[in-house]
Amino acid sequence: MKINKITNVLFFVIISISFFTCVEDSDFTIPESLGIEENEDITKILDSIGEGTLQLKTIEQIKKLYISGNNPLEVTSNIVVKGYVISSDKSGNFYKEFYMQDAPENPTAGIKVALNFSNSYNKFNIGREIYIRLKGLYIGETNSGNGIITIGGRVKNTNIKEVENVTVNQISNHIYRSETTKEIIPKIIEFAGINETHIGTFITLENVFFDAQLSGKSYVDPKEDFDTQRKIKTCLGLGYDELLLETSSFSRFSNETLPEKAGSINAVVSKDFGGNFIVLNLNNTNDVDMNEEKCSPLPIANFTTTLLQENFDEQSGDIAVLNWINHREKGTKSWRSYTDSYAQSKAARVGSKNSGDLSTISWLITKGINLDTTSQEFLSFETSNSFANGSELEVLISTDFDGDENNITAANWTLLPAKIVSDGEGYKNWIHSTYIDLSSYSGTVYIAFKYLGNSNVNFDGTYELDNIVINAK
Amino acid sequence: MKSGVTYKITGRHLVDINAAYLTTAPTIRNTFSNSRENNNVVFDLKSEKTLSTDISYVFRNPIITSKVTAYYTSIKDATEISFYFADGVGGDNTAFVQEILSGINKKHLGLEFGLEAQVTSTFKLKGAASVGQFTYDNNPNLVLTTEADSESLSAGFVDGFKDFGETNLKNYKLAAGPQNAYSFGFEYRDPDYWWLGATVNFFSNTFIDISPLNRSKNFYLDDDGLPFLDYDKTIAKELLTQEKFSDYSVVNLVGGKSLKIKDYYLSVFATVNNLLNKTYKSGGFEQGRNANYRQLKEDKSLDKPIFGSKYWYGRGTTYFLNVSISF
Repeated sequence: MKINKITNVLFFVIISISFFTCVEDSDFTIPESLGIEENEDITKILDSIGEGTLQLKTIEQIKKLYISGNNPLEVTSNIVVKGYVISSDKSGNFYKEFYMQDAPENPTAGIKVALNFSNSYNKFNIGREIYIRLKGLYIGETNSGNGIITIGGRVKNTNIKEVENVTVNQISNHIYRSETTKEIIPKIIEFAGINETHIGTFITLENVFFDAQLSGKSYVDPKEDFDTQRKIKTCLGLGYDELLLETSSFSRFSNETLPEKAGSINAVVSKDFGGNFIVLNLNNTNDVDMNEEKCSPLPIANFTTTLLQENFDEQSGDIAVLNWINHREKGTKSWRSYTDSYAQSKAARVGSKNSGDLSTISWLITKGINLDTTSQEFLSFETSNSFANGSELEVLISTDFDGDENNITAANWTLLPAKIVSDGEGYKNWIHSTYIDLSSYSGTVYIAFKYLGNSNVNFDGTYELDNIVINAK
Repeated sequence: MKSGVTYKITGRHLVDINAAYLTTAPTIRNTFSNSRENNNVVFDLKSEKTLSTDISYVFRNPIITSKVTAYYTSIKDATEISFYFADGVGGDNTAFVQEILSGINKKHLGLEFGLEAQVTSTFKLKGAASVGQFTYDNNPNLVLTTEADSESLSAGFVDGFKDFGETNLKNYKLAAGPQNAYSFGFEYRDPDYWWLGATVNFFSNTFIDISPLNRSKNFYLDDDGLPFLDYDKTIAKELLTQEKFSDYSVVNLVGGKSLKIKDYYLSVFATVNNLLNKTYKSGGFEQGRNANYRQLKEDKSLDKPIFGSKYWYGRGTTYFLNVSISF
């Protein structure tokens, strides 16, 4: 009996021990982040900024240090720039580069960072706060003159006008990420208002669709070796406005079929390789949300009133349309009449080439237009260029200008979101401005075409202007 | 300190209880991290403490002798030092390092059973089983030391010294050979002065020696001290699963014969181990080279990992013959 008791107790003890202590092979815990890690280098940078030994600059300030087309600029001062990553190379549409903008929301400027680092999304993920110590790096362009200002690591061996990627060894001493990842909220941009200041920022365009001719096609043309540009459009007034979406043939979504309906698109604003056009680059196709019906432009037949129409056919020499102002604010070049030999039509043009002027600002201002008698008005015109690199043409509107040539600069002028011919466009082509809605303006308004340039070889382009119309109902 | 009690219930039934508490002072080998290279000492060095208890029940009768033992051993504050070349320390850096693992607690727990039956005066059957579980019982502290050069500086070493904090070793198995073993055999002694014995041994639960660096925060941290963004817990769990070797069995033969020739005694003794020439892994260790998630994942996704685990294999069939003459 005693023996039984003892063996029973023994048995019980053994079984209970094995019950409580048995360890399964998978009972281990993997090491895991507690989310409290800090990047010590960032702490040092912030300390140095606090002490004043390092200066924090905005992306906008950094971009101003460099002028497109010039030789890369080596940064020799102790400056640091902060930004939030907005692009990702995860899907292969970006390669050895990322874009960062100055704020997670409502950015004012963005910049490209070229780096010898693939799969950078594993480190510099979208929304990541980045600090770049610029001393020893270069600010320039990876393709000279393309207008995409880039932070690079050195000057290219084969072309002193271009920057080379930041090397892997440089990354650890220059590009730092903080522990912060913010949600990037794309800035909603009016389609026609998209311009070079948006390069390097993450934006949303609404009510857009792919050109009907692209129906059934994919993001990348299988015949293309590198990039494919696909036209996206939106309705604007009496017609359409369009823009190019550029996708690398190395992107994972290159074979996906383009959506046929309309909706919104979130993308990084950049330029094509040559820097001729503004293009959009997708991070991935989740940023394309097109499930709605396409818009249709307003029927032009309803716009029976023409408030303004000028084709310069009656002009010669300096432009002198009745009640218009042809004014030189700076420099010696005015808007002049000329005959376009390709279009066989007269037009107006201005350019500062060979002027010898330090600065050229030339205005062509329409007569006063009364918008109170009509409910909706659309401005449209056409522009062309000849080597317009660096020079600018702006279209402005003023409601407080009194028509007096002496008061031009005193009046308030607002930039209109018109499409002006881009620098890379062929010189024979005339570009339609799209239809610019003026219905938010009232009273007597003046429309101005303002040319900015100088005799510097990079700023002396010529612009041509024709067929200015305001349709109204 | 040791003590033991034997309680004889009857002459045939015995209960034997032992307990011991030992402290082992640190040795030179685990006091200096690498005495051949530098004069670094292990900080906060402690004596190793061992608590060991066992309880046995013995049953004997003229035919059967058997014994059941349950044991529990707990080791606390052990220190272990090892050297290796690590790839991926503090991100994507490499260094020859000394690894100091301190404050290790280990737990040994198990049951043993043995039985011998004298079936006839010449024939004896033997059986034994041992079922154990030897595990790490805590998350010890991991410190690496290396030469204080620029490379180690960029990997985050301060004066050639880097504290990795706790390493998640708890519940990993100790690499102490097969944790479960079973043996069954017989022995035949012929009155004509020859004998023959054979055993079949079956082993299971042999585990690889794991790399502690891979279980520390180094595993998930990038070179800037922030976690890897591509750290996938499911994959990490898979990567860090301790390799368990296949079960294996080995047959051993032993036999002998002794002769008297005139005044000489000639005895012949022969053994054959691993008679069936089984190939098996008897142990191994994970290399410390792929010291982080990315490196390890990359290496393990190769068909043939470059820095895969190192293994020890058991010997094939071995023969041993001993002839002796005594005069």
